[in-house]
Amino acid sequence: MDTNTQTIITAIIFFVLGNITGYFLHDLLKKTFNMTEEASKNFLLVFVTVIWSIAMLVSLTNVTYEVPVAVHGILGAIVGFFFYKPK
Amino acid sequence: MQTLDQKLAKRIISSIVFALCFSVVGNTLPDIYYEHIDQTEYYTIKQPAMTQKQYYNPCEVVVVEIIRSATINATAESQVELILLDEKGVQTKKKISEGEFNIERSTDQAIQIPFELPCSTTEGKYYIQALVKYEIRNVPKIYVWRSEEFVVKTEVN
Repeated sequence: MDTNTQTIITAIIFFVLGNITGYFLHDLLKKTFNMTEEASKNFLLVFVTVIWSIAMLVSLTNVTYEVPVAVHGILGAIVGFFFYKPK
Repeated sequence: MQTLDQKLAKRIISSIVFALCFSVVGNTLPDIYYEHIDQTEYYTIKQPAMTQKQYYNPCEVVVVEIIRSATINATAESQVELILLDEKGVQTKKKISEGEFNIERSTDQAIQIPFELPCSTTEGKYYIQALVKYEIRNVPKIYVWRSEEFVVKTEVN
């Protein structure tokens, strides 16, 4: 299997994992902290965005550290999952 | 009212869009920073680097002591030139050495480097200058260091 195929498969796996992780984290917040649906979604959205921003800041200040593309993808997938609010 | 299928499809589209945006921004921003903004010197040498003697003969080895500091581990290339200063301040350059070496993370590490003077070196005042090229996140960086001046004379004991 060549590198490009491996990268695509890895990206798909991380995308699916990102969606599943987001769903379960959302459910955990509602049950553990008695958050409303809206509050738990907003909390996760902000929390994950902050984590991503910190990772970006570290990669700018530490020349030896690079955030893997898959990590950007999975964090973005989680934020996107909770960003969408159905009418 | 949207069906579950429609909501799920829109969530997935939203996830894909955000995943792509985060990936593009996350990958591009550090590259832009290191290419256009970062001015950090990751490899430095205290200058001028000291030579062991002030007077040398042609064909003799000039030992230069450098005190270097580096904040990264990297592979570097160096090109070393022997530079003649004439009375009018005009510089004549001659390449005397080039090659690859490893940069290791260190602070004030003292190293002695020998450079052989060509036997055709004429009398005069000289110094050694080295151009060090290395890469940080695929961005080329150049560092120049020079030794103190020394004199080449024939029949120096």
